[in-house]
Amino acid sequence: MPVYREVSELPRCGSCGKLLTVGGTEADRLGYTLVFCSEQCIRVFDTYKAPKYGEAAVWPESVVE
Amino acid sequence: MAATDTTAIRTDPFLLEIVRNHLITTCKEMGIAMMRTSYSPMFNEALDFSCVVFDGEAEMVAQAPFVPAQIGSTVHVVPTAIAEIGEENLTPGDVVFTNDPYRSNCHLPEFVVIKPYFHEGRVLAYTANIAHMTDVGGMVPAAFGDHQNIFQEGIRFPPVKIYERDREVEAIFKILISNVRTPKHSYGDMKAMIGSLYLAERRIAELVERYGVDTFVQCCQDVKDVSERLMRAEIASWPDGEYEAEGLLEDDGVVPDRPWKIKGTLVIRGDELIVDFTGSDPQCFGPGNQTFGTTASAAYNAVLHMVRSDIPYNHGCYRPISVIAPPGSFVNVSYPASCTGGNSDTHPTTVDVLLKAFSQFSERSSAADGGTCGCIGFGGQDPGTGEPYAHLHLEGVGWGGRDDADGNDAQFVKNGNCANTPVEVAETRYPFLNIEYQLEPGKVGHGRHRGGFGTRRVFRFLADGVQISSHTNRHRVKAWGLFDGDDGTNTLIAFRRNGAEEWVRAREAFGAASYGKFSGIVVGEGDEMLFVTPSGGGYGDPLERDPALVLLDWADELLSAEDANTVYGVVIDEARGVVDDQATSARREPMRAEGSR
Repeated sequence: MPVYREVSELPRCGSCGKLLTVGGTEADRLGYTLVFCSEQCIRVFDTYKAPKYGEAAVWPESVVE
Repeated sequence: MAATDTTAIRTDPFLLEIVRNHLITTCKEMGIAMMRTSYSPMFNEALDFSCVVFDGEAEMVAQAPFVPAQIGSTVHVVPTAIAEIGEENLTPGDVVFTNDPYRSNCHLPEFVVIKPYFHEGRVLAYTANIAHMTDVGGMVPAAFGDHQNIFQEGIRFPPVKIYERDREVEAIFKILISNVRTPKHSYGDMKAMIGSLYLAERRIAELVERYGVDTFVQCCQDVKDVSERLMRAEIASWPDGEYEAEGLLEDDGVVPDRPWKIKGTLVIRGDELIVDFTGSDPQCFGPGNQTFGTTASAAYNAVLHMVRSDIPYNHGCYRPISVIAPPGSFVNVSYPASCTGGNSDTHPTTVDVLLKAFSQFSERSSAADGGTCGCIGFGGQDPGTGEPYAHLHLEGVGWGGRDDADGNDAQFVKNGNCANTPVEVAETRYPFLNIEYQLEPGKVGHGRHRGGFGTRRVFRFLADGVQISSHTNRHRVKAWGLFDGDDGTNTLIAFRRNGAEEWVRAREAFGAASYGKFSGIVVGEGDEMLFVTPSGGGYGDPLERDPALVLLDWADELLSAEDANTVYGVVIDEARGVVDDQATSARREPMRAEGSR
């Protein structure tokens, strides 16, 4: 459907979980390419979320490849 | 990430205060305009709306004391909507509109409108407001019930232009007003919202004309940086560590007796704070789910309860705070799950969960509040005009006791500063009478500072076919006390048919899955509905309560002499209307020794 993408087709930030309708920054983490909404979220992922939760830190909704 | 360089505040501090207050006053003026020009009691009586100004970077620079839940979500929904439309696609006179909860809005009934302010071809600012529309279509009047998906809730708009170059986009208005029960009110309220944007634009233009573009832009930057510096200093004063707490929404209106958990962890690292909701339950089947915008807003709400009150609220406050909300969970709903009640009842509980976590290192926290906006939707056909009507009733609850005071009585929960709709206004517009309305005496979370009292109200209906729906909480799970304070008391909703003696509850009488979350109960002329709202939890040991305050509650007929004696150890000489100090000391000493509390 070219005119509209439903929100279920859009990714969520890999750190905060916010829906990203446009943009975002991709980064390779824990063997996945994840999308993040900001540099701050990438830093929170690297320094808190990944060390604390390991593999469970990766949400399927954030994987873009 | 290094903190923003806040040492380089360039604007003269006096000028910065002038500009900052001009912007805040602009937000207040927007609100007054909306109140005076809108059609529905949700706007002009309950004041369920918020007005904000964002700068050209789509970051909030000003707000006024409106609804915290809405304001916090604008931090996300406004830039999301602008980005999706694309700044390059905006022209002077455009207004962007969305109510999509999945795009960081609070819930479907919150309508968001955003207007870019152009100066010499450049967007210098955005004026915006977010307001609760009484009806958005869907399966019940006024949007609150036991929905199981977004389609039952009502009509959803992703970001679209509702004005282009100062002209209405007729198609959008047609779609909107043909899908709601209250087309005249919805159109009028929408125009009130948009009118306030134009008003704010004029006020910003006055600022720019007086001080110039460069100064305006610099001021916007500096007000945010000042707030960030103050917020970071507050966070840095807290002990580093991780502090966890949990709380429950008692049910989702679909699965009986299944509570839903919110888990919040405060992670304090120097001058930064992570609010991690990992470990919260999966999303529920009913409307209690929070959107990302609601959850982020609840996190900001809790933090702002804990910091000094003179920090200017703007984007700078939020920079040091990161939120983690797992997608598809109770705190970050995924399409197409329902979420109307997440903003009304889960939000205040989420704030209280975080305040409970804060209480692990700070006495400034508070006990839990009534945890519900008391949303009761009424609808049907007006017996006079034959037209459909919808009315959303909001009700105050008791707040939790806190370190320096009792909880507030009969006040809207922490996610909003909404007012109740006056009895006279509601009775003039809708087919019911209020035959009782008072504080509910004797029911409260006791403590050194007691919780606030809830209310007791009885409606009597004046027409057949009044449809009633509800999303309320704390029928089973009480507001918790803090530091040895007692838990609060429960909500009660019950019905009585015309001429009947007994009150019956929705679950037993109408087959609802929940006592507080149901849709479409139909009552007739002469039937009545009882609504008792919950009280707040107590703070601190009741035996430490000032006997003079106990006496005051007794004198106000909110506390019996017996409860004063057995709960507080305060002996009241009822004949003289005074505390018997000697008897009270004699009573309290053994109670403390025995730990009978």
